[in-house]
Amino acid sequence: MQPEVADAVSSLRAKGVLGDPPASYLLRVAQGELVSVRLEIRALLYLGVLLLTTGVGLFVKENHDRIGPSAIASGIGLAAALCFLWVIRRAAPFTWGRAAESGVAFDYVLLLGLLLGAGDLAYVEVQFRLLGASWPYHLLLVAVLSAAAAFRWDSPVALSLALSSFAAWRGVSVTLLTGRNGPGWSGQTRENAIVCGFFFVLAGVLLVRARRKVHFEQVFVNFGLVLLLGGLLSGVYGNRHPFSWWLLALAVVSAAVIAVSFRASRTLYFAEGFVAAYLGFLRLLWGLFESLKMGTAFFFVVAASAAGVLGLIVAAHRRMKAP
Amino acid sequence: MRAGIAALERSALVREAAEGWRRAGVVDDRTAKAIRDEFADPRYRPSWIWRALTFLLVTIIVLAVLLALAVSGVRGTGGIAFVFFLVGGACVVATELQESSPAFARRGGAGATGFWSGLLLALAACLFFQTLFPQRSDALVDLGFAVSALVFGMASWRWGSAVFALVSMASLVFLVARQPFGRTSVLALSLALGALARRRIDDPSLPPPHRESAATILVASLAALYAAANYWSVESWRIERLRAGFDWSPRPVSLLVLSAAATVLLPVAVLAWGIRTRRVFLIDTGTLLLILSAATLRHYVHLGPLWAVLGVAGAVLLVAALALERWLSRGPEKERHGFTAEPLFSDETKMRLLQAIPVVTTLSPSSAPAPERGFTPGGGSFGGGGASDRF
Repeated sequence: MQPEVADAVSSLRAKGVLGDPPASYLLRVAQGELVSVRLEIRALLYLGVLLLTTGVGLFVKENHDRIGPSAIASGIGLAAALCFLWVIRRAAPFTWGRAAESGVAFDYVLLLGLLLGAGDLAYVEVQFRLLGASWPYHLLLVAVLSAAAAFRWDSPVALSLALSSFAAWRGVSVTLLTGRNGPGWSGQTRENAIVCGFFFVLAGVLLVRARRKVHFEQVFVNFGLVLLLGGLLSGVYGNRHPFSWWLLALAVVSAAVIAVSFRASRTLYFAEGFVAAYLGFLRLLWGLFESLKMGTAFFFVVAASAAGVLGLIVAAHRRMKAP
Repeated sequence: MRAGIAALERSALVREAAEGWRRAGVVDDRTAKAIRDEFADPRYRPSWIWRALTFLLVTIIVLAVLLALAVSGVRGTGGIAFVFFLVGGACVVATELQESSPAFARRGGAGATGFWSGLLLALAACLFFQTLFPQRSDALVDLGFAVSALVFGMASWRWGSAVFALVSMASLVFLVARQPFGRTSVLALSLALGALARRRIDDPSLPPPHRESAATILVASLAALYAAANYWSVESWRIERLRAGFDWSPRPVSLLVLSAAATVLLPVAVLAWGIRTRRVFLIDTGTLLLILSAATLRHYVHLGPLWAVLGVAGAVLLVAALALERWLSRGPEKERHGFTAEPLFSDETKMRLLQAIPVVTTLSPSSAPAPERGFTPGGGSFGGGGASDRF
């Protein structure tokens, strides 16, 4: 209940600022007579998908000797097919723009279908060795299928699964549950993260240019920037020397991200570029002061630099046409 | 909270509601502007990204100044305590200054300095105590919790933050739990504070941030009540273990029976209360407690293999969510008993993008090993929540 809002609605109605409708409807919401449980339904759906896929994973692990690979593969495949059938029946017609909403459960049933399908594919691959030594290609296949589903059914969730599967194919994991980002963020994984990140950002930009699924740009670019800037930062912090090509590359890329996002009034990209640049700067600062053995001066310089950056951010925000 | 700021908080609530109405298309831009003009609030509140950035940078400044002073030749625990007190006090002043400035009050900086002021002053009190009474290390933790409860409670009252109220409440619960008869005291405290908070959550004389704090205290009280009454907590002496010199002995059967009944009934009661009063935060709390009770049941009773329990639980949740959405959507005007599955005034576009975050962070596939390393069976497959990737 929001007493101020309820009073405001009554007062605005009396002054003729609000008509009726919508005043009586707004009053009901403000007085707590009508509440939305949409977020709760979303949370239940997410938890349901999480538990169900985990249960299926454990079931396959514990029972594949007893039941047999064909029965397991068919069972999971059938469940995935049922999910896709539900999705197909509920889906809005295809459009290159934003599709009409098909219900709060739509994205989660699609996600369940994709996860079951992907799990089935992985199981079949492990059991029957269809791809042989090239087995990681099943992740690429999952990425392609998820991307196709995302574009057909206009699902940011399916798209994020597609991008994370693609990154996983290249050896970069973004899941927090395993607590790792691939084999130690070293060597090839780092390079793969940077290349994947670059192509994701590029894909987001191309979508906007082509005016196709423009709203997917945020998923592509945010995912890409996290991989790109994260990969560069891991290079900066993985290098013993404070001055390195990694630092230079990070400075150039984050400066470009900051400049472009400032001009385009894209707050989140601006913040990602700024944080990456500042973390790189801190590494440089630490490297410079480490040899001088001046702890107090180092911390004062960090405080002063943070104050300076804060001033810059406030100034940038005032000039940027973004909330 | 100053009267002037409380009035601005009331206006801010109306302005935020009007922005939601405009976004949902219930009112047009002209009406929304008229409402903003009617309910003026000179304080500027940027989007969460700017506030998070400001919070982060102010935190870096506070911690860097603290560390600079701490390593600048300060000696002994007393010296460190003085530095903590000094920086904590400076944070109090900084928060007051920001709160009174329309340009800075809602930028995120006041939240950061307010938080660090509470934490640093509580730590300073602990360190001073340790300097004065080096033999009384057992009382140090209690003092820390007591000062934290007091300082964060005052901060919540002064600056109107539900987060500070939560920290204060948690400190108080831990303080009480560590005393003799800790469990009984936690039960009594949570019942008393919960009853007090319940009467305040709709009190129009309180400004919105204080009502929000009251709701937070109510939820924290219910959580503390559940923690004290839960069967696992009672059976394994979880609260008593917080106290130094804990000595284990078997629990009376009657107490175990009571706690088993409370484990089942408390979540159901909270859920029913939430549904009856149409308070979504109580429904959320009841649902979470219900999940915890299900986990407690599974801990003691072997209902079946883990995969079956997880699979069935997941399927039940999915079906329940689908059925609930369908039932609400088919009601007259897409609502039943004052509940709806429609978004009302929330930003659905943003929500659809945000729901990708938990999916990416928990359900993404594990990475394949670097291609040139050759075939290594067992990687790169799917499953959420720790599902194994090896068949």
